[in-house]
Amino acid sequence: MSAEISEKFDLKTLFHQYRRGSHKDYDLFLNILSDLQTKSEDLRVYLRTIKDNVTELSREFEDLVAVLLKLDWASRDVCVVREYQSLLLGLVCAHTYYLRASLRMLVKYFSPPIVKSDTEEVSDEIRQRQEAVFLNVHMVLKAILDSVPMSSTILMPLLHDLFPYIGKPVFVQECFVRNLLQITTYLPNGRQKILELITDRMLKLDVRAPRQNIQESEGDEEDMEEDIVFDIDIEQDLTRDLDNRDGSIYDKKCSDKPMTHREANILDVCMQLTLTYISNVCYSKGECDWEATKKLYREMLLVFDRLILPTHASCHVQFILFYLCSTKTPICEGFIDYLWKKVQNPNTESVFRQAAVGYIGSLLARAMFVPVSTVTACLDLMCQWVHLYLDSTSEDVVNADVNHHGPFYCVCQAIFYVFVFRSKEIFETKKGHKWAESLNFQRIVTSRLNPLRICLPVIVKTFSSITRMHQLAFCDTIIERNKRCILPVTSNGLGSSSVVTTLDSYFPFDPYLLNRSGRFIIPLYREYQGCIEEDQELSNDEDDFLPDESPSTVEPQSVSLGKTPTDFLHYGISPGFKHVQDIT
Amino acid sequence: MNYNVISFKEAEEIMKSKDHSQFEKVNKCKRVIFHPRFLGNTRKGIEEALKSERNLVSEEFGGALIAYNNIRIQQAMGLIVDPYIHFDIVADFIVFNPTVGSTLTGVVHRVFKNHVSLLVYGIFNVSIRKSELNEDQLMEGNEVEFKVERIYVNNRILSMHGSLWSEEGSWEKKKTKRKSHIKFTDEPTAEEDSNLAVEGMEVDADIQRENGVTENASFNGLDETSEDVKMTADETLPRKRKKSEKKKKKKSKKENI
Repeated sequence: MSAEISEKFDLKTLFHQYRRGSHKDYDLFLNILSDLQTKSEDLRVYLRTIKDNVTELSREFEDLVAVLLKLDWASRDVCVVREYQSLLLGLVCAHTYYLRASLRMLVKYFSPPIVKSDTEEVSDEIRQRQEAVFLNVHMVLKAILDSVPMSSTILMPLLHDLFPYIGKPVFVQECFVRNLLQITTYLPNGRQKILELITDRMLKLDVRAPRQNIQESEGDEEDMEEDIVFDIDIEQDLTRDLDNRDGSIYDKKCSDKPMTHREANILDVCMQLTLTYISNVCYSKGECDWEATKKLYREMLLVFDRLILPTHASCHVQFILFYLCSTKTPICEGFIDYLWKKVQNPNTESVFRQAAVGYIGSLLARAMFVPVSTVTACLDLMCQWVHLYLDSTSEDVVNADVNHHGPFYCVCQAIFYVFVFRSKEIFETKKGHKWAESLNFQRIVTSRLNPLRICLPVIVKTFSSITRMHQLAFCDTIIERNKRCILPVTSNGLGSSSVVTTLDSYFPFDPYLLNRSGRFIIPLYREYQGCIEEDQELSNDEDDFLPDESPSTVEPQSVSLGKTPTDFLHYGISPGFKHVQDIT
Repeated sequence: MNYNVISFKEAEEIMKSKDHSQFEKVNKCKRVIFHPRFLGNTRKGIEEALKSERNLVSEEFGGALIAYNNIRIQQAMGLIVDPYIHFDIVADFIVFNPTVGSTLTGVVHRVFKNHVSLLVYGIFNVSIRKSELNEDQLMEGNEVEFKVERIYVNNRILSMHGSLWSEEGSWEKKKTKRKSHIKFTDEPTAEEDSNLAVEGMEVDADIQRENGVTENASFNGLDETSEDVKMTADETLPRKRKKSEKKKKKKSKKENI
């Protein structure tokens, strides 16, 4: 081989011959190049010679370029890799019409080839090898983006097209997402689109992994563990069980175990990558980088507006915004401000207004980093708006019509929800009680629009108990009256009688269920602390029949204000579906 | 994105300051198509649509759209062609429309063994072959004047192959041209001088191309032949070229975009 090289490897003569018509040597050369057995040293010499003659590689020698682009160069020796990188750069600069093909080849490298099946863990060795490959590809991609400024217009659609299919193994998708985030380091103007791409994929995974399914799959695992535990000693296990439930669920949430549910697992990995990326951008050396954070927030807000807000029932992706808001207070306030503007604007579609108010309520209630001052300010705003609304709607509104007054009911529900969660802190502040009185809850609950009828029963009950305790409003009579009134309410027009009795509620920041990415969120998250008095009275009777129910003391891990420990789904239930407990 | 965005004012200034900017100002009617997302916001939709066309070659302009200004919407209502919305607008457009043989200025961006890559206005890539003579001019960061040899459009991205003017002396275009004219010809000078500058440039191209190995592709011919041309200039070549000039000129015009 080496004899051949020194002897007659003259690319120029090869080209010359080709032009004259004799293709034999040329084809032979192409075959040698595409042969996998060719030694690295030989390959290096060939590549170097081609590099020196790169100006010749016009349209005439397209096949040679095609063979070059099909070479598996990134996983080869360093010397070959270096030669190839400079060759590719020279090629793209000299003959820019090969740009798209080259970029396509590079982007394809971002998804690793599938060797093993999905269920097996990817070994460290493979990971390291792939890391080296990715590094090589990124180096040359960065150089090309620098040399040919217009290449970014071609790169973006390619990234979109070559995104691995959602059914592919975790490792493939994980690598691609990681590489995408890597690109943003040297292509900052492309970050917006790349974040959109990644969020789009995460949303697709998110809607395939609803809360219920995740809990079922994870719950199965728990049950399996419990069975084993039960075998040993029953009495001890019961108490240990409770301890496990109380304490280690917190730990379990932050474990490094992969999730059982397939889409949730991939989503978990992607969320972890994204949240790590965000924390790297926002925090440098432990301090918050304000300019970078602002920029990232603006880009994420666009993504939120276009993708996340319109998505129905996404459970986890919105926590990206949750995490971003935790970086600095102005960002949190900016976010709430943006949402509130959406709610107030009567030209926004009703669904979006309701979703936006859901976000405000959930954020104020669940975020540890939102100070009481912000909460009181927002409650002030919302109550003000509600009172204005009540003033402007005529007093002879006969029925509580969800379709017409959807945003109004959602805002009321948000007020109640936030108040329930943060009442303790509010009353601890100076003049907290007086301020709460100034909100004038009594007028809201006794209005003809009757929000207590429409809002979720759990929230209504807890709210009424708190207000009764602090004498802010007296809701019991209204609630009783509502219970008695079981006539269906039909909405005007649209022909059919659509019976709508409860609000289609959405609480975006319900507890986070993903394992690995949870460690970003859990420290910032507030669980419900407080007792649900009404339910205690009821559940006393049921204790005999339902021994599985743990004592109804404070359960810090309880998701909503649900009555049973596993009744996490209360908020997500579609209207009309009644629980056994409801009919009492 | 990463690329340079030239505003309308900047583009106008470039047009005024340089006589070979290859910018053209056109006032044209254009049909703009945008996404229904901008339904309430026509202006924004039109701007977004035009923004996405920037620096890309489009047939209706015959070149790359650089900047636009004075957008006037022609209709009160647009046409919905499911699902996109079509609007007719009239605006001032500045288009980059180089022709083969024209001169341009670029900044050397990357230097390789046998060629260099220039950027024109920080947007368009040009590749120029190196030789011992022009090597010292083609250092990274230098601003270089070159002649356009070929223009390629691929995926709407414009790129060019160019060559430097004569290798010696200063860069004042007219001087060098005259110099080369004087060098090549004794007799036909008068006739050549009377031709327009553009034609003169094409003459050079033709001569050099003639002496190249092939008509196609490689710039093989260019650098090597510059010396040959000087040597043979005083001989019969120029006269012969006169007749075949016209044929070649037609050919070179066809080789434009």
